[in-house]
Amino acid sequence: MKRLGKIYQIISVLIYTFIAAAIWLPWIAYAGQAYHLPGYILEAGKNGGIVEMTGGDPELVASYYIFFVPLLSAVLALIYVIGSLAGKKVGLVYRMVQWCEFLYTAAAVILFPLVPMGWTYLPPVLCLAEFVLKQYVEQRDEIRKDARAREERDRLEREERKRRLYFPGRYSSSYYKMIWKNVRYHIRNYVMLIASSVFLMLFLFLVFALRSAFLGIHSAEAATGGGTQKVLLNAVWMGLLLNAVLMGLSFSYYIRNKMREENILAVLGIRSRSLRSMMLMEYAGCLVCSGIIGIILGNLVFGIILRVIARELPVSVQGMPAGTYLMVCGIFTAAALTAAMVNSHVYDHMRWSASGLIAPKKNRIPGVSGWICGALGCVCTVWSLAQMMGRSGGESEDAQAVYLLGLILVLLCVCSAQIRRIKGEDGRYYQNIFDKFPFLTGFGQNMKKVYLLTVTAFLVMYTLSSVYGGNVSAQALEGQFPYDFVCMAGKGADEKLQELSGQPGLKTERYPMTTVYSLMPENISLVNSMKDIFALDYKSVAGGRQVMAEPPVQIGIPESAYLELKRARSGDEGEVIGLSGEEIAVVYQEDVSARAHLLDWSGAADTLNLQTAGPKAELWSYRAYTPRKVVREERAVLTGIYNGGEEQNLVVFSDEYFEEIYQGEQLYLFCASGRDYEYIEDSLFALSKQAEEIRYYSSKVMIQDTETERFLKQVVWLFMMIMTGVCGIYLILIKFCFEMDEIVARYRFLDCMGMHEKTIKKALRREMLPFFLIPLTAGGLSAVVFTLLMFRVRMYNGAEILGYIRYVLPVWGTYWLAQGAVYLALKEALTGRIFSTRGGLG
Amino acid sequence: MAEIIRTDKLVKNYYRNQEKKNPDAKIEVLKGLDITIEEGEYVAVMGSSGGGKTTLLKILGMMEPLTEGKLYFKGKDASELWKDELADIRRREIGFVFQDFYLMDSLSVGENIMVPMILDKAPAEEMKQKMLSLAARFGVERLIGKFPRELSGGEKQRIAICRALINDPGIIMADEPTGNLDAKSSRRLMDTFDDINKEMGKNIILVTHDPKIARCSDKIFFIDDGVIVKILEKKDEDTSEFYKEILREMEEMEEE
Repeated sequence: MKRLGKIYQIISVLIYTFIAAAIWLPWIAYAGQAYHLPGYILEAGKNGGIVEMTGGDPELVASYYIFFVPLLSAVLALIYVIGSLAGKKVGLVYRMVQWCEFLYTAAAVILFPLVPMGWTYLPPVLCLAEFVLKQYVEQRDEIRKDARAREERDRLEREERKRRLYFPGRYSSSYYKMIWKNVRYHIRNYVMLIASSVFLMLFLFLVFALRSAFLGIHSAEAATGGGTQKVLLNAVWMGLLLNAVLMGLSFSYYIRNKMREENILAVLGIRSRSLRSMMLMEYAGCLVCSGIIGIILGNLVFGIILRVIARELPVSVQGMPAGTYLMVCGIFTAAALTAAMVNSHVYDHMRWSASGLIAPKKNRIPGVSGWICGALGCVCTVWSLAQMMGRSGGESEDAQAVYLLGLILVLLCVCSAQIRRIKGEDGRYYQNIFDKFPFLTGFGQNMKKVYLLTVTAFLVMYTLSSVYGGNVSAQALEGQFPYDFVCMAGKGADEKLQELSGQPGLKTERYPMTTVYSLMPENISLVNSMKDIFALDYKSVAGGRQVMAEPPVQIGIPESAYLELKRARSGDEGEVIGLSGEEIAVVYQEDVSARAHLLDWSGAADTLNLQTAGPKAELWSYRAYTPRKVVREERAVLTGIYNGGEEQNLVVFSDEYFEEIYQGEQLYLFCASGRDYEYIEDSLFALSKQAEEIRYYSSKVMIQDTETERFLKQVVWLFMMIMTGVCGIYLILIKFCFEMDEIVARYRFLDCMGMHEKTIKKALRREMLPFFLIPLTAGGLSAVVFTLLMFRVRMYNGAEILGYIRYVLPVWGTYWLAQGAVYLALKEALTGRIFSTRGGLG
Repeated sequence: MAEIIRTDKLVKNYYRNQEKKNPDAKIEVLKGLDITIEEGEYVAVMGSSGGGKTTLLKILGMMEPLTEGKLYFKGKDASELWKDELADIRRREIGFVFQDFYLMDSLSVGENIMVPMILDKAPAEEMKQKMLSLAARFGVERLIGKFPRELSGGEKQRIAICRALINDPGIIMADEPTGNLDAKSSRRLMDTFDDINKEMGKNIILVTHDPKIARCSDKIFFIDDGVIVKILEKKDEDTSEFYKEILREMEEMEEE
């Protein structure tokens, strides 16, 4: 121990000496010169302060102030070293050094990347290592002693457990017969559980099968706006979420139904391990069954999809490789085990709750909290609708998610107010007691189902329909790519492209252009804003204009070029915009399947923040993006769609202003035919390799990729719509099938008590209707509102609206009809069972 | 006589909505009970509804944990026993009979009787023989192939008794066993319990409201609001005097 203590002391002194000396090492490189820390601070002082020296660069200013922390740390470390060598008590100084190093690390991490050199993170790391070493040296003996005692205690407990819980022998076949008979008796519960897992397996199988099928035929993922993998990834997330809800619900009902048998067995003395293995056997059996059924069904559906693909697309697709089968099975097992683990907790809670060990949760009807929820819900819905109507939100998933949250809160408020109203008046309460009572007694649980069904209705009628409808009704792709090659060339490359455009048989259009960078609202960087706070540059913070990723590239053209392009596309003389000064107009180049991309509208309502400094502009500085007044917007494809409309939109400037900012860039639009196409493609490829200033894309590849992507979207989102719709129906089935016995017993009792058949039917109807009417009304109305806003966001004209409705209306109708059919079937089944044994009464 | 079950200042509290920190949510069900039950005793627990009788039976049967105090089973402190040891005691040493019978709907009558033996890993042949002999003893052998839904209340209760006895436990605990039975079936059931106690020498712990049922016991604990208010012991074999005492005690409790 003494030896170890001495070693620690030597190490500690060495580390703290290093911390003290480190400030004299090259700490920062500025203006081509390396400075140590005191030197840098002195240099700033000589130049009249850091702001004057660096021109107010936020990163440098923020770093400068933070540099005083390691400086202080070095001074304290020196005091610590001298003090400990002299045998003085320096505990406080020791702690202060640690705090300084912690503060510096925290500041460096938050403001990453800071300006200092990378090695400056070493002193905090060494300080931490010294601290850990000290703890170990101080507590080593105690830790070892504790560990030995714990080991001994565990060993004794294990032996004691073995002795006291000795339970030799095997269960007889009667035990397994008992389990099997129980399963057979509750087969409906198991079928529901298996069915929900089949959904998951089928879904996973199809998504991964489609992924592998499309992997070989889709080449330019990013250029078409996300590509097939993005489509599938979105589908996977959504599908997993839906399935998790379904599996969770069916599992909780299954457990509830098993509770009685389990309690009997527990009272009769079954061991906990046997009970768990019994549950596990049943659950594993269900999973294996659902896995096999899911794969068989998946193969069938995938076979059908492959046939459709082969008919629709001019490409050959491959089947699903064996490795992917294994991967699907792995994900399925992982998802099922996660569901089991989550539900195991619920199961334990419910088991103990049912046996009286835990008081069941009180079924509260929200009072004041209901109104607060309602108010919050209103705020959320209004905010998301404003987002949809505003320029920066558009069809964002966030706005939809917030809207759904708001809708749920509003529903909670309305339903709880309604229930409280009924409970508040005796006359009304007794009038409604039979039909409202079931909803009232399970208010919390019932509301959860209403929320889920409302979300399902909204997903089918808007979220999924908008993608599906937009894709199906989108314009033919040939019209969206009017030129074979679209090429942007810098001043240096213009000569080479002029040579190329002289080729016989090649039709070339050439326009002056400037590269325009636009920001998206999500490009705002919180970290950079914090740096501005340190640099006391509050104006920049308020603007919030920080760049995180490389911004999208747009094409800036003069108004005269715009008119020429219009003429070339439609043959008519385009309408003159009449731009003046720094005013701009924006032409969104995209089809109707997505929102008209909004570039950056996070500033004032009619201004767009753009950078027009040319291809080699400073992209990361917030100062480079300046607001421009937009006088007109339209959606039209004049040169071609690129990256799903997120890039290469046209920003039209007035001719005079364009002259001022023009730096010699040219937009070349080529139309080649036959043999020339290959030649031009090869030439452009070679030129782009030689000169970085040439950027181009060919429409042939884009058309093929966009076509496959569109097709995949149609298939996947149609499948998702069907699946979500089925999930909605399945959710209702789970509720009413699992609760059927209780409902039937309740109404049979009322029948015995002399309630009229007509009244029973009415009460049953009123008990069932909230689960159909509320979701369909709330979800449907929301879908209508969102669809109308979507028309505005996507800039649809009348014909496009009709085209969209033509495809989406049947989906809505089918969903409503399916819900109606389920309602009628369930009502008939329940009524039949309620009155089936009437003859035998008495 | 050896002591079978003893409680020492037994306290049981429930909490509304699991709000254990909220004193207003606390419901004190049992407030420091001291009970001793000796080998071979036939004990009844009586008292007003909500007084804590069933909770006491559940705690004595080790189906529920207690909040404070001690419970000793054959001299062992129940709080020091593991969960599976408690299960073993419930399976081998205690037989339960409930008011709602607690039969498994999926199993036949014969299988229901055999469940405790199945769980005890007993050989199939031995189980069947024991089940048949018990069924014959309680006159339910013709019901063996039937299912619980096809039986009357009295028949179900006899099946539950057969099940409680199949592992040959030392104690039978019954919670309102006659609650769902007519007078004739109740009488038969009580004769059965009497036989089990006298002939088989087993302890009976019975929760009941019915003084006619309670008079068969040797000792009665009267519980009101979680407290034992009186312990009546049968002095001789004359049940009519004991019955009068029970009625008198019940009247006093009602007046209070």
